[in-house]
Amino acid sequence: MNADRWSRIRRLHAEASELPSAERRAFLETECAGDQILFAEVWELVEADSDDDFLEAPEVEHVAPGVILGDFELLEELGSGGTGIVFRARQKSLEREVAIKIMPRHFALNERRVARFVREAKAAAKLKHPGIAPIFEVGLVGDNHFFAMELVAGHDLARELELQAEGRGLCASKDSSVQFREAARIVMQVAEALDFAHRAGVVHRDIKPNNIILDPEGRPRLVDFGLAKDESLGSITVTDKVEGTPYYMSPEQARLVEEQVDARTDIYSLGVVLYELLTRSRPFDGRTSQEVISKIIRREPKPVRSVVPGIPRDLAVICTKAMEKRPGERYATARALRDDLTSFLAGEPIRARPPGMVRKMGRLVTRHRVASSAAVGVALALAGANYAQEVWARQAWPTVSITVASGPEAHVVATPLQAFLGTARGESIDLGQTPIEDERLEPGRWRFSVVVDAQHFAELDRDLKLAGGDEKRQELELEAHPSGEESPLKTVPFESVEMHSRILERGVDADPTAAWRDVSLRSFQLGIHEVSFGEYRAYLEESGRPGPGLWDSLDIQAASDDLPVVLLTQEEARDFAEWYGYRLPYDPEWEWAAMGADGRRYPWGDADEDVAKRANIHADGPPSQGSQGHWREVLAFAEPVDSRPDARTPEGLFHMLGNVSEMTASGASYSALPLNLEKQPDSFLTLGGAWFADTLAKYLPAASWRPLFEGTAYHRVGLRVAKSRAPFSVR
Amino acid sequence: MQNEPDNARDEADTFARADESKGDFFERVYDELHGLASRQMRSQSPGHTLQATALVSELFLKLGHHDLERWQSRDHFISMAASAMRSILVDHARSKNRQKRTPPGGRVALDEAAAEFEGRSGDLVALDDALVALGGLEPGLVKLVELRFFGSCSMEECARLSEKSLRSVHRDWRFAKNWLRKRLDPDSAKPASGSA
Repeated sequence: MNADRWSRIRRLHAEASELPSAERRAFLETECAGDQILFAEVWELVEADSDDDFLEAPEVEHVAPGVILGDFELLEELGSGGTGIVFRARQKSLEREVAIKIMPRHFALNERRVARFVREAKAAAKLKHPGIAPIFEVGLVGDNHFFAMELVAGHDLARELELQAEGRGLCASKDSSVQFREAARIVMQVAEALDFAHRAGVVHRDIKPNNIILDPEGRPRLVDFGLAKDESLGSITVTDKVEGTPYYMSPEQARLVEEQVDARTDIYSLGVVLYELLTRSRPFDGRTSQEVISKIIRREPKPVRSVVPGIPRDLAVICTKAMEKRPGERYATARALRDDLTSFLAGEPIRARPPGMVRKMGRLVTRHRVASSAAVGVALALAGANYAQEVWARQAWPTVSITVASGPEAHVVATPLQAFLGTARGESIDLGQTPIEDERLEPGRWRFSVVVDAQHFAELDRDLKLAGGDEKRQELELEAHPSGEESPLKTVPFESVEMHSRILERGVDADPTAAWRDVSLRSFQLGIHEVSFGEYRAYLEESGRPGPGLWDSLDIQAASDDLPVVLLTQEEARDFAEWYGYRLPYDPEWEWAAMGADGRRYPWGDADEDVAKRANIHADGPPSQGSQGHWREVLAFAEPVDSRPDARTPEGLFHMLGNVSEMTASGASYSALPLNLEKQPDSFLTLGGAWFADTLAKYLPAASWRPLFEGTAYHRVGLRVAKSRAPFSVR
Repeated sequence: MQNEPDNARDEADTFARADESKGDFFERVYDELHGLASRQMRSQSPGHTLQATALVSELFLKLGHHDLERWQSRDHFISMAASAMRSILVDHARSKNRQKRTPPGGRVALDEAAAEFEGRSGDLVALDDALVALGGLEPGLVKLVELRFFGSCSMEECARLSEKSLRSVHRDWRFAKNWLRKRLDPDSAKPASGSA
């Protein structure tokens, strides 16, 4: 059938279907104007129309108000998160309203997870305590695992904090000393409930203001006990949005040391709640989860009394004790925490004493100050405390040594980078003149700008890792090759610009509202074409380095010099770039260069004629597949790096779409979706698509994620070099 | 990188190869979904419906990043997984027709799933043949059937995945169903009697 006739049939069917059934026939007779075959064809289709269940999905019980789950009728959605949706519901048999939490649909597919959920829910259901909202029932109806619990009137502590900020709230008072006592009272009552649960062997693991509900009398009730805090559940949420920032996570949770997570984790988190109630600020805040987690692990909170000076000293000591980094130094039981708070409220001495020599000194001096105002002593002692903490935390930090390969010594500036965007995520640090020896730095992505002068510099980007478990401390030794315009690799300059990353806007599961989409891009230069086999061979010869590991097993010499080089690991590609003083580009740089200000679809603009040919994309894949697929496809399908001048970008970049896909330095944690930009990168982004393109790779940015395993290389991925036009400097 | 140990080399080689064909990734999704579907049908009460979307969510978690370098987004993954569901069910139906041996357990579990799908489509093999024919005319409609029928996607999801308006997806869906109905059961469509 020709396309014309097909689209006529489609159109006539669509138009006829919209009409009342009685008018369809007449309509078609008119439209077909004597073309009996066309009429018959469309009429048969229209006649076949039916409301039956042919090909229709079976009624999946979507959870929504009105749905009935056994004894419960869902009334209203109260909230949703990574671990399920909560509804207000009516329990028919008992004529009462309850709260129902329904687990996500894929929850039931993992039997171990379900078993754990049922076990914990049953344990939690046994807890009968006035400070704990009781669980009435754990059930399964259809595909929905759920539990029903008491619907507590009132609002949660998070809302209370908001209300208090406006001078309202159940437990608000203009008198700050009353306010502090109220905070102590609430936390004391929660600690009492927690102690009860802990004695019954149930750990909550997710104590936070949202899980503490104040009833109309201001009495706290704990909800959501010990339920389904499964890592894998948290990673995909009902709404596919990133979970809230982990302000209340304990250091052992932040470090993912699951076996250390016990009752003392709850004590820590409750300490954070107390901190927030007292100071109206969180001890650890940050723009990203990673920043918060990093601070939870490594930083000491600002003492509550330095945030709000009027806080009673004993209350400050209690808060500090509950929030100790090491579980062994916290209150051993929730009862002990409750007892100290009770003592405080009764005006009796508390038991908590800050541990450790340095701390003790601080405390003695603090006491002393009450009598004689020895403010200088306080400052010194507190500095000592911070220093001790710092030294402890830094034991596991990686070290970096940097030398310059040849030529004059250089000045080195270290800048913490956002590993996906390649933008600074903190202040630059001056490391001084080369050689740099064993400089100890916080884990994360760093850029070392090795600067001879404004024109000659190198940029070395590395992921620094924290030693942990059996891993030894990372000790990096870097060699810089500062370069200027004399480099043999030709680049195109780009000015600094405010842009936003399109890859994060579409196609990648990331929180679309996240601020990191918007990027202040510093001026940069990008290779005019993909690096060629010829250029790579010249580098091997010049540097005397052995060829890439994967090349030995392949007859790579068959590739001609002008084809784009492939089958390099990301490390090998980076080493190449750094040999000439370059680095790999980051996503925003590449996207900006490829797509320009208006986000064009193709390097040359939006014109979509001849895309496949112009960009060298074989949309349906190479003719060979499966067993015939071989690295030699490069020879058959890749084109010279400086070919197809009609497919260049306005600035003259070749093959930004198609040919070979290009590596970037942009890394992210992709093992748990939505895309996580805050964890240690485990994958890197390739852009631009290759000669073989999936349906989605036919237009820019044609991105794809690849796992960052050492030694992993792909025969469709090449590279293009990049560099900033000016190095980072210390302000 | 230099002086790589041999096992790293092997791994690299594997990945280079894994990248070589679209088929590898599809096969992996196929295998995993097959396993999940069998397991789910086994562990649930009789008459239980197989929820493709839930399976896909779970698979998505399970595969993590290791095998997912082929697609650009979750949407792409869903679309691929829906195709895999089609293959799983149709292959099962075909192999049953041929009385081939299947692993113990798997047969029974998938029998139920296949029966459940066939309750809404008639013979799966015939449907598959019809889809192949439809693919020759308008491949987009086949994709839609895969998403909607085999992937249990909502109309809204189908619209997003095919980058079309909801309205035109409704139109496409109606047409595809009518076309397939007519093709699968030529008698169901009344003859265009006494065409004027």
